[in-house]
Amino acid sequence: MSSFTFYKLNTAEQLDLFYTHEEKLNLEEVRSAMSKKVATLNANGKITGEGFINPTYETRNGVRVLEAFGTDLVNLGNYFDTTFHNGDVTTTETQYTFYSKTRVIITEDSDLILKFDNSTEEKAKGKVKALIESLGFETTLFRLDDSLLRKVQNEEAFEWSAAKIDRIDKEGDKTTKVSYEIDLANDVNPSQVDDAYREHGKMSHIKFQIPYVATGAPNKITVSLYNNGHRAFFEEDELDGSQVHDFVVFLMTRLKSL
Amino acid sequence: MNFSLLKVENPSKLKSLSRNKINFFKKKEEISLFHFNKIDNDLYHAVFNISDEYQVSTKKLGNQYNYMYSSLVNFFFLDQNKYAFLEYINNEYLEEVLMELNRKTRASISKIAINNDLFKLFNIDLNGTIKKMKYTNEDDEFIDLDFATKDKFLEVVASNTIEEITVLVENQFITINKNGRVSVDNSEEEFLVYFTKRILNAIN
Repeated sequence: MSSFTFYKLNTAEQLDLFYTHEEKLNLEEVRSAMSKKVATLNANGKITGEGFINPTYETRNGVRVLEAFGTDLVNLGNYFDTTFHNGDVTTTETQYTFYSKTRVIITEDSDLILKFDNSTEEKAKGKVKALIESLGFETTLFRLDDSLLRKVQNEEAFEWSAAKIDRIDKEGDKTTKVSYEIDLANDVNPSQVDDAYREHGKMSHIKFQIPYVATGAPNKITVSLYNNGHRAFFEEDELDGSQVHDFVVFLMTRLKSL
Repeated sequence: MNFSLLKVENPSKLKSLSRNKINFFKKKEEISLFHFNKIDNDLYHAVFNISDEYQVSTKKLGNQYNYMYSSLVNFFFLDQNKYAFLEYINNEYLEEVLMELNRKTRASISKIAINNDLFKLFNIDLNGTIKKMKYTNEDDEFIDLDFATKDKFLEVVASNTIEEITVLVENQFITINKNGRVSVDNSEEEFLVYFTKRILNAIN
């Protein structure tokens, strides 16, 4: 499943350069800065260096955006290469590295979305963020913290269906952590676990339904938010042909409005 | 509203419920028919009244106070349909209504579990988005999916035991459980009439 992380961009170094007179981010300037940091490729198209690939302009959920791939070297871990020579076994510790891609979406409202298609790609998060910062930005993480997750749980337009609460310190109760899921279709009974723990601890995960309108997609999409890594998840297949990037820009805008 | 799915062996006998005149001056009974009518052409709606009481007692003095209270249980069925829906409040009330139904009508009605074949009929008819699918595989492992395509559902149904599915249909969530419990997050009469009729026709 793909994961998404959201950031706010500030133009720390080149204050005026990146803004149009409507106070919007000048995507053309960003694109031309990217063109000075193009990822190198070999003859077969294999990525051989860090940088940006294929920046394009799009309109997502009514917002102008610049989309590109960022590439960087990822270390997948170490392995022990073994040789047998003249009766001796020799092992050499070797690093396995490769160039990984990350989907980068920069909006005219100075938002940055990084999309990782799997957990291996996520290893490049820090490096790709640094690559974007090298264009002249400062990034601020959009935190999916306790207070935001609780706003999601309390938002009337959403329907939450699962939560995890950590660091519980409740008088007369030695429970320290609960993870629970409820039946969305049951409008008769309460969740006794939620009643008991809702006001306690730190929420670290929430799963909810967000109303959405797009051709092909169901009218409610399941979204999971995790405090760990400040990541958002959803099933791309559930969008059933409607554009994933439209949905993610919509989701981010909606979460920021809480 | 939460329902239990019921199997009716002699559906033609169920209508005889209406022959029991509703007695507004009834003596104290444990269970009685409170309401009976036909809605939307062919759906029958019966409401049972279950008399119960809260009992307050002390350890030394025993029973001190009784507070009367009653609970209403909704029952939906179609003429000649092998299945019916009874509102699920708790097991005790369910058993009581079933006994009363069998005593009064000889329709031979009982609670049934939902097997994979019934799950398939439910899901094909509902034709919504599967928002949750819980099943047990051949190695007896519990598996939870947050989303499943129609093809994935058919693949799972073929060789695993479905425990529960939650489906989004238009704007409503519907959960169907292996133990015969069906929940829908809308308790408005108009919707319940539409919903029960549609499901009963689909699985008959």
